[in-house]
Amino acid sequence: MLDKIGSFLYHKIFINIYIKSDSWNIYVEKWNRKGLISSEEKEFKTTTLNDDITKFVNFFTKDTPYFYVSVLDPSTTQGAAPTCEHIEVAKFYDKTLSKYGCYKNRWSYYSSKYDLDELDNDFGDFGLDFIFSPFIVLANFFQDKIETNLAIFLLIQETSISLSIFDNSHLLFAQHINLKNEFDNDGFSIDEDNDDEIALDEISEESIDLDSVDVDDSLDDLDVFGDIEDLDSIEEIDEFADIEDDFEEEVISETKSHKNHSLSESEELFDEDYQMFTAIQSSIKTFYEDEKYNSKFVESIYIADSINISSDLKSYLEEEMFLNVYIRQIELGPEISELVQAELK
Amino acid sequence: MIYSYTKARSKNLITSELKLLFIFFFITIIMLLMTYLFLTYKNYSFKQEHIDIEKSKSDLNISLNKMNSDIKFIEKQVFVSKNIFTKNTILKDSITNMFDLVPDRITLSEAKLLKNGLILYGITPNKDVYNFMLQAPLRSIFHRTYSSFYPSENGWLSFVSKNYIDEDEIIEEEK
Repeated sequence: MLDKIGSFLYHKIFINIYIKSDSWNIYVEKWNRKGLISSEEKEFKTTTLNDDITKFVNFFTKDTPYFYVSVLDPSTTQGAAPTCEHIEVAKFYDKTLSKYGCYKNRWSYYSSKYDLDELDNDFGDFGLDFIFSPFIVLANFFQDKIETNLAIFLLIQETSISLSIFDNSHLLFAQHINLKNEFDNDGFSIDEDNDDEIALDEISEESIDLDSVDVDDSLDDLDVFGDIEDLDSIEEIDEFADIEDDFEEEVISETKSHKNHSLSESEELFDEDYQMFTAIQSSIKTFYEDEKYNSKFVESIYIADSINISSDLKSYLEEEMFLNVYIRQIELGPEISELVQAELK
Repeated sequence: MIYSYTKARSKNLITSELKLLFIFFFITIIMLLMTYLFLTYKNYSFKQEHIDIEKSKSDLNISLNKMNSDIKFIEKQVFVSKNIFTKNTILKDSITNMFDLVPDRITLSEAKLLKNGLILYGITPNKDVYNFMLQAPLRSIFHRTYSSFYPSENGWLSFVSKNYIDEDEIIEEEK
């Protein structure tokens, strides 16, 4: 009753937040009884809730008590399971350590209690109304496709991939891949906020030390091939040597660039795309191999892209995994806002 | 809680601005109410005062009328008293005159003053003294005079003289 009176008196403000590695994106929608009045999105270069964000939000919320703060769960320990049964879910996650919900009595999503509590604490006095799992966003975004297809569905964010496999709206498999961890593990840290020197040290330790590379030694090793008669000609070997030289130059330049910590953007994207691809590949491998999943052969992949991925990832998926790739751009702010409205109905 | 891990916080309909607005309106209404009550009371008070004044006015009018009637009555009394006083003075003068009328040789034993007459009792040495010295002036004053004599022990005559004034004649005379 009060809400009805309130909706006559006040506007509703939906503050939708999604957190990136080095920034917070705030998408604000202003609604009245008739519909959407205005929307605004702003990116704040920060890793915590700061005064600028508070001021920005307060500007919208000062005139109405009906504002809802929602955030896309940034937890690294989250996922989804193909069942809502209390006994069954134990196979997929620890209920005592997780907070979970059931989506349309078909499958469940979960997240670390600790992470959610920490997130709640981070917001402090600012307050938090809704925390949404990326799997919910994904299910909502690809609702039309999920209901009629057997396919892989991805939500790609800057620091994570939410991967799920649905068979006609039945969840078969889901995994939340934290890209930051993936990159860090492979020594391709792209987190510029981290200690640069340590990253450089790690790179220099794991990369090829050019000073220790003796080109002549390599060529000496090639002498072994000299006895092989099938080799067409020495020239070709020379050509190969030329290629070696080119490769050497490439490695030199790449290593130098690693040392200077100035990877060009395209190379960086290339690495990111490849890492994404390997992470996806590894995840799908788990789906096929792990017996607890009802694995089926999947031919299609639908990608909800929030970061404008390059065509390389699509190429990898098509060429290496023979998948039909469909990419759909997603605006996370409006998607979260849709979920808030569904919650409030 | 359909999609979210958490429930939305309950929203308070009354914001601090609205609270301020309500307080402002509340104070305004209270002030208006107090003004209304004050004016109503004053109005009542004035009406009551008006009634009291009207009543007082009415009382005063009654009192005034009474006083007027009293004044009239007193004036009448004054008039009457003056009249009586005048009459008394006249009577006194008359009596004085009457006693002046009585000669030394006649002795009065009783005199009765009537409204329209005078009755004298006395003794006279003889009728002539009486007739000439007393009856003559009495006749000039009164319209009717009746005298009767009877002998006294010492040889003198006791007399009773009844004298009356006819008022009809006085009125006619006045006319």
